Amino acid sequence: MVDIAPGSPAQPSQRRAAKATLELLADELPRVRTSALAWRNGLGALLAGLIGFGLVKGRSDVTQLAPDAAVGVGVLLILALLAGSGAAVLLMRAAHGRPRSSTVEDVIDPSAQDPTLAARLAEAGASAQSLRWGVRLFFVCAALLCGAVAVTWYGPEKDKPRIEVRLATGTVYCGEVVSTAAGKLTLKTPQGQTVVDLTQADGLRAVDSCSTAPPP
Amino acid sequence: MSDPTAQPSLPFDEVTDGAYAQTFLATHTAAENRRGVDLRGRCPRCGDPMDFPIVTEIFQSTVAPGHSADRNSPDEKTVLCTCQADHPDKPAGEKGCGAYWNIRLTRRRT
Repeated sequence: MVDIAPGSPAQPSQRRAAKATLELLADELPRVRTSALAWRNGLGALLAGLIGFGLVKGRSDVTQLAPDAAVGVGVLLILALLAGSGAAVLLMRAAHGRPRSSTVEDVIDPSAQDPTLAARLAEAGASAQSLRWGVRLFFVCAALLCGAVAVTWYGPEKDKPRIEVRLATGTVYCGEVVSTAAGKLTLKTPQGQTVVDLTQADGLRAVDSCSTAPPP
Repeated sequence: MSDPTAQPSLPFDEVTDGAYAQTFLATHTAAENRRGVDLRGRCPRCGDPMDFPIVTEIFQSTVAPGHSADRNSPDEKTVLCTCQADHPDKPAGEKGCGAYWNIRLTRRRT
């Protein structure tokens, strides 16, 4: 609720300010539309640049990532898609209005001196709000996309297949295969490269991870 | 043919009076909306019906920081006559009869 009472004596400068406010309100909707169009075009170009930059260099295949990092990239991309879709809808709503018509009673006030004034002011306010949130959501989308690209580039690499070799003596070697030559298998273990004589092997199997510590 | 009983329209004049606000408030209605308050009533000078939107924000870049000298009290608003009548001597781009006055809005918590 608003209480309205007489104010202090008005000054000519206050009249000028009030007149300027009315003039700004009169062309507010076209200004919002023009601004929204410019923002939409500018942000679209920025997004195109971001995507182009992401394709230029760095790892681009999430299948090369460790499972946790790949899931993280997927989540970031879904959130970016949601934010980007919301931003696009809001920016288009600000630039072009709602994609539907309104009833005449909702637009025209026959009792008002300017029958469309209230509807124009409401549309300008709603469009300005859509523009504000559209721009915010766009930058959220851009940040999420950059995060997804960063994780894809710099995230941990998926583990390579490992081999576990069990010798007749009971000793177990485990690590990534580096090379095989002349009956010798070279494995990369956390302790460094180890050469295993395959003629002494009693068993050989592929494993996802080395659970047993390699021999000293 | 003109109506012989019609009152001659007041000429346009940028004028204010201490009684304008009280006279306007005797005829006004106020409708709140998301952006502010829509006032509707009769101009206290020319007596014609008028609407006046009071908004709390507007889509426009702000002035430089610190440019706040000589500002009205935030609750005080200046209202202009915005009637659609054709007042003589009205300059181009002007609305109403030229009358203006100040009102004070106080938001009441419900």
